[in-house]
Amino acid sequence: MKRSTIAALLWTSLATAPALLLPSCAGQTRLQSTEPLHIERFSRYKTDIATPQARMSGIIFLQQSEGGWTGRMLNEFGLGMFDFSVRRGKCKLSNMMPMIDKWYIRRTVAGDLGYLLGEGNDGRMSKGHAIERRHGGGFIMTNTRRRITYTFHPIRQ
Amino acid sequence: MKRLTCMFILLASTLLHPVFAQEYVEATPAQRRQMQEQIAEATSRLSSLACDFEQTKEIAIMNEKMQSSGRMFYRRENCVRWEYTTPYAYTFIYNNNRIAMQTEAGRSVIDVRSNALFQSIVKIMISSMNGSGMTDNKSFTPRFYIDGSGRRMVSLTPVQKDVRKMFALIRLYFDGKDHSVETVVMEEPNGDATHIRLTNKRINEKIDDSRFTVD
Repeated sequence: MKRSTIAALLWTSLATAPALLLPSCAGQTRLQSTEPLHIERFSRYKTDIATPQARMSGIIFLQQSEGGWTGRMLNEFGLGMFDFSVRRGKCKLSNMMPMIDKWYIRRTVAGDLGYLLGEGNDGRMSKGHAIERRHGGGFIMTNTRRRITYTFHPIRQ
Repeated sequence: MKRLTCMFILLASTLLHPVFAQEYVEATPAQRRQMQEQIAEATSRLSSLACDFEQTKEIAIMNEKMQSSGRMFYRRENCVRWEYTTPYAYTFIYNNNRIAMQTEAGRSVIDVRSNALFQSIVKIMISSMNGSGMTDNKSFTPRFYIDGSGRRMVSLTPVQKDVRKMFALIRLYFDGKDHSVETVVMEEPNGDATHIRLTNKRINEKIDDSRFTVD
């Protein structure tokens, strides 16, 4: 097994782009164009990122600043997975954990987070993404082209 | 005036002494040998460890701290179970070169033999529990410290480049009585730090196999 296999397993679905049904779960509503997500200025989310082949999880710390957002995703042990900043819907990733530092992961995650913290947070819909609310302030974002779901549960301390 | 000056100096050194007593200084060669022997002996006697832990993660750039807690189990054949219970549920199990990660969303199982970086991370976890990292010169460069009250600390600098991207330094603080690890501090290159304090330690108790089941 090659060294990049674990990362490849996480993101194999990026090589294919079939149109698929969106995931649906009881207790969720699809956001309409007039319903902003209202992510809080300082927030923490338990986050799961799932592809059909693999999954990774951790905690995302988000902070709204002038003109955009900064954030960090850590795994549950507290190890940094990546940092990101979003300005006008464009996301830049940095300090990626070596295991996931692949161009196709960067491109996809940056695109998805850029949408979430840009148009998605403002309530604007996108052809390639869907957002559904969950009970308790959480939500699920789906990259419909790549079949990747991002699940966010707020952590309140 | 002279009398006042002497009194001031005496008072200052009395007040400052507790501060200096808590500072760690690098151990002399003799102290280092003694530490190595005591920790090695404690490691050889350790067949299992069960404890609670409290973790504080400091995120430097965001000026944030996150607290979490849970339970940990270790058995000598390199079986490890880290179980977070607050503020999220997450379980990490390592057994026989396989890792299981369980969240509310599901369970993933991977084989670490193909991934040197994952192997290093597991080594760090195990070293953090039994102090074995200080003899693993291929993985870590150890340095030994002692404070004025005899408390011991070993700092481990990762040798491998990929591991150094994740951990700049790991510090193990040892219990003065039984020489087991009491606190682990992991410092990252970006300025973040994770403090893990082990409490309610139960040493060499029987731990059921089911705790380490990966599948």
